[in-house]
Order: sequence, then structure tokens, then C-alpha cells
Amino acid sequence: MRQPWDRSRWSDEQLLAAIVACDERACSAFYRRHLTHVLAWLLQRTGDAESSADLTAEVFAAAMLAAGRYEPLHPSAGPWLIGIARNVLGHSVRRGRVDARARRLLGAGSLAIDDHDIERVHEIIDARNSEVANHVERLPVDERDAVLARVVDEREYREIARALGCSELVVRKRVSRGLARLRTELAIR
Amino acid sequence: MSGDYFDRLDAELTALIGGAAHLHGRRARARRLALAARRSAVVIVLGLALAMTFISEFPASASGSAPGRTVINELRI
Repeated sequence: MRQPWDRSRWSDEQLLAAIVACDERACSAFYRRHLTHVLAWLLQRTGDAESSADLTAEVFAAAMLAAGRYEPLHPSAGPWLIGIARNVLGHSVRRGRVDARARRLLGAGSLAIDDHDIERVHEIIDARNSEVANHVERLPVDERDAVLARVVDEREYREIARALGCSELVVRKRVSRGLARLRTELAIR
Repeated sequence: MSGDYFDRLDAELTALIGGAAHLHGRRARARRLALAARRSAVVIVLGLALAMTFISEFPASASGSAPGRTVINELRI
């Protein structure tokens, strides 16, 4: 049963419906839940902390505008948000500057980013990397070994299969399942 | 809150959502009307509650009769 006072326990679908109904606390809960995920995704692709922070603002502004059109195809709105992030990043790259259309539509001002904020970006990402490492450790042993060998050590599937004494197909499945499990764990928090 | 960029962004988005900035057209107008009506209703109810409290605290002054007049009338009889 949903506890009305604790938005952090609501599903993404419930939070987005509440955002459409102008629920401020739902907006904050949704933002806090997905901030690290979106920021990490953008930083990985831009390599720039300041641009990533600016793009993150645009992604969430766009999400607020699109909240009424959200369809819960997945337990988490994480993939939906990353889809928005992909569009925002694409528009920004084409224009040669960070897109700010959603923020203009919302009437949001532009927030200044200083050195302290850039440091904060790195702190958030470092904390997330620790969290990811913890989640990897909790994967089933076969999936963990396959994911570490493929993603961290960047070994070929054939090589991993030979080392683990199984077929390449089995290794691919273990990596796929392990990554899917990590995506779900990190998106639903 | 540490007051960093992400806290400020949280505060800004929250304020905009509370003000229905993310809604457009008829939906936005309906929402703003509903919010204004709800706030007016709260003000009216509070005002009535205060008025009732005032009336219940000072019933004599509200009816216009002063406490001394009853004694004088009894003395005349």
C-alpha cells in the first residue's frame, strides 16, 4: 500500500503521475532517484563535468514536460530518462552547444556552475562507481566472473569461454544476464 | 542540503512543477484555477475559524449588552 507521505517509496509511474498533478515532493523524489544515473551516463559520453551538469538539468526539464506522456513499459523510468538524455545530447552535439529548449519552455533560469559544483560531479560519480562495484560483487558468481572478464578486463568472448571451460554462447548469455541485472538494480533504488 | 548545483536544480524544478509550469494550454489553465480555488478555500476557512473563535471568546460584547446594566435594573425593581 502506498504511504502518501513517503514519496521515495512510490514507483516511477506513481511519481510521474503526481508530477503531472503538480506534486512538488514527487518531483524532488523522482529527480533524486535518477540524478546519479543520468549524470553518470552523460559524463561517460561527454567526458566533461560542467557540460554533464548542464545537460542533466535539460534532461530533467524535458522529463517534467514529458511526464504526462510516460508509458510504464519497464518497472523503472530509467530507460525512458536515458532515451531523453540521448535526444538532448544529440541535439546539443548538432547545435554545438548545450540544448536549453526544455528549460526555456519551463521558464527555468540558467544555473551557474562553479568549481565546487564540478567537484561535486566527481564526488557523485565516485560514489556511484562504488555502488556499482558493490552490485557487481552481489551478482551470481558465474555472471560476475563473465561481466568482469568482458567489461572490466575487455577480454574476447572466445578467450573467456576457454578460461571458464564453457561455450562462447554461454559466456555471452552470462554477460547479458549480469548486465541486465545490474541495470535493473541501479535503475530501481 | 549542501547548496550545490544539484540542490539548486532540485529547488528550481520543484518550484516550477508546483506552479504548473510543465503543463500547457487548457490543462495548465484548469490546474492553475484549481490551485487558486484551493488556496482561496483555505483562506476562507481559516478566516471563519478565527471569527468563530473571537465570537466564542467575547459573547457579551458581540451581543452589545454590558455586564453592569443587569445589576442596575434589578436594584430599581
